[in-house]
Amino acid sequence: MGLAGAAALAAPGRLRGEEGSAAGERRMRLRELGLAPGTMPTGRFNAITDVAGVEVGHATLIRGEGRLVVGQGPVRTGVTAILPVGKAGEGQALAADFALNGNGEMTGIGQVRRTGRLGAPILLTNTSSVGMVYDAALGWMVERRPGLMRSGGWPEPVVGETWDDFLNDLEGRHVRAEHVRAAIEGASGGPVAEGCVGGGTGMICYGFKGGTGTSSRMTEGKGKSYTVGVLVQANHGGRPHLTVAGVPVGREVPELTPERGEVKSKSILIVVATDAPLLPSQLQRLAKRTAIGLGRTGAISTHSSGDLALAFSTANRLPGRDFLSPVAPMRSRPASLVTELEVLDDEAITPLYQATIEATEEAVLNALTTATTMTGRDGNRVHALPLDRLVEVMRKYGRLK
Amino acid sequence: MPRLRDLGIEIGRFEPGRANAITDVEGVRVGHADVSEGGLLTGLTAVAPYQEEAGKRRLFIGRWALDGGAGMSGLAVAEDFGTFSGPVVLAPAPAAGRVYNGLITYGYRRDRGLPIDAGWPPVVVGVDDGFLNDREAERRVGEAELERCLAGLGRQVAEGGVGVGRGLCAFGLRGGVGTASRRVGDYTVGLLVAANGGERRGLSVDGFRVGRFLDLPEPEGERPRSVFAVAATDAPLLSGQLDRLAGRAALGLARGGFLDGHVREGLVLAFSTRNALVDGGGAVQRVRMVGEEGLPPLFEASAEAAEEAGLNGLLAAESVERLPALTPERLLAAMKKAKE
Repeated sequence: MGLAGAAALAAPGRLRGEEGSAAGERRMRLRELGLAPGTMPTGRFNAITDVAGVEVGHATLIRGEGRLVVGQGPVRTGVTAILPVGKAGEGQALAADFALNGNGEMTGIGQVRRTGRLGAPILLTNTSSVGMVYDAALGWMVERRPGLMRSGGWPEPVVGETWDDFLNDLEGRHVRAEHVRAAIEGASGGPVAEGCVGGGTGMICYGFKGGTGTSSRMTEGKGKSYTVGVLVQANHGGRPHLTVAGVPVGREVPELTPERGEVKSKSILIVVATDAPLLPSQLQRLAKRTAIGLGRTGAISTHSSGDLALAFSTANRLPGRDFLSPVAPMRSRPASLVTELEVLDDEAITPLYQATIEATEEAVLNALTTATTMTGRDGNRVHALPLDRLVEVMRKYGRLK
Repeated sequence: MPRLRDLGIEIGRFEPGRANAITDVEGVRVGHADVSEGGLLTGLTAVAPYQEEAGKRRLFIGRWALDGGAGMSGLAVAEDFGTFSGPVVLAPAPAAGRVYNGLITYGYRRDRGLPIDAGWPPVVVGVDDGFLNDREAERRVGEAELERCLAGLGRQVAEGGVGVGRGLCAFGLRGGVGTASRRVGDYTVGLLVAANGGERRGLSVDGFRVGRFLDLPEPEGERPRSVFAVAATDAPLLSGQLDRLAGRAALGLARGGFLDGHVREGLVLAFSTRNALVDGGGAVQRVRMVGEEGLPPLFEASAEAAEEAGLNGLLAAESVERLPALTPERLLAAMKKAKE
């Protein structure tokens, strides 16, 4: 790694829908520390929203402290909404998924696999709230598009989860319809808040405070430049595995482990957006490459980890039922239902693989460097990766001056 | 030799294509090579998706495989990229290596660099026809037979005991290669089936279980438990959609009795002749895609054509010493009894 190339961003932007802010010191994105994975340039915001049209919104729930009382709190959770073509965009995006380790939930994936398309919001939340979030998202969609469910094949919300039981009253299922609504309606382009926000609020990564992270890359070279943006909800990994630019940071910083309880290594959700015109089969290959980026941060994708990736392209919009466009009339002749698509030659796809890998790696590390130390239910406490120690270790290994 | 339709039995509701064959899909050609040396009763059948002279291109391909199993080469590219570029060759399984080698030679002829869009990797489907053949002896089948097979590519599709159909056994009867097609609006879906496998009591024709009414002995010996088919269409489908088209052909085969509890291997490959991806050196190309609402009639056609193609294969086959054939007379008599 060398010095950061793109313009560094200030600390995370305004949190939307939040009920209280996470306590803590000034945190920074990875590039502000002078660390930049890979060689490709980032997009303007170094975020998934660098892919034009993609909107992200968070609803962050932080309230209460002390002893766990199921149904009451403490609450350290939330929901993050990713709208592939935004609220104003039309049509469905092509999409595909890849399950690196299947111990997780992502609803709506069967439909994505079958049809190769996405016509609903993506929502990332906690494990126990999946059902309510799914239902809330569906309610929002139907409200927006009456008649959406009049016949079969209506688009299913894609709801992914990771486990935040260590800090959060998980069983209490505190993410409600109004939070889902706030996350979706508050979704926008521009800078994306990271760390203890949205679905990432209560997450733990490599034994440090984890959560939401994002990054992007742009391809260069002859021909058109494309953007790949990644957003992760990082809740995975054991401390000894954390690796930054090949440096065994986790082993060098064995202290500040989660307090008062054993943390089960859980999962990571990875969402990849691109404006490159890729078909579902190509998008699946992009989704697979997130595993390489994840591996660069040291992950071994343990048996209990639900490591799931979803990739979509904003390039081709398909007419069809979604929560925005008018319902396409049913016609009996297949010829009248043909869409013309652009597709990138496979010969040109490799730079997109590299972009995916670099952006995934950086998104995970951004989650770690922006998250703040958090105390949750029963006084359980998870420490943020201390940035001064990170810099110290990177200097020790010659990665920083 | 009368085909199923000539007997007044019409599977499904769509009309067949002009020749009621997979070659009704424009550009598709089929070739057979019969092999009889050394007592073998086997052969090769190739389905070519386009004229070789048309140049470097890849088409989308999908597959349905029982238990997700393989039974073919070219699997990684077909699965991961959803594309292929060469002929699909159905060969006796023991000959797969040498047939593969023959396709490598064929590919080098198309392009010295042997890239993905000029016949690499070879797609060879290994068919078990060991009921009528000495499997070890089948390893003699190879490059020369493949050359013959590809030289014979054409629009006419011979059915029955020809090509890979020669050694097949289905329902304890002589199996064979069969074909059928359906018109769906502006599009055509065509099937070629290597009618193999199945239990006598399972043989069904348009929903009538006729197997038990066939007054024919069941042969001794270990019978094949596999069935293979190739579907072609000019509808612009992507690879994921072709996976589903292939699955519907499997449903048609199931309706005919080819897929039952005993089946060990079932494979259907489905390709579209549209959307040829030309090696564009990194360019963006245009493809077309049928929308969700347009798929069900195509799926229905795939199932109908597969069922009919399998039965056509049986009807066209002639009896050999160990295996009686399903003649038109026997079929009609059994149908009559089944309907009573």
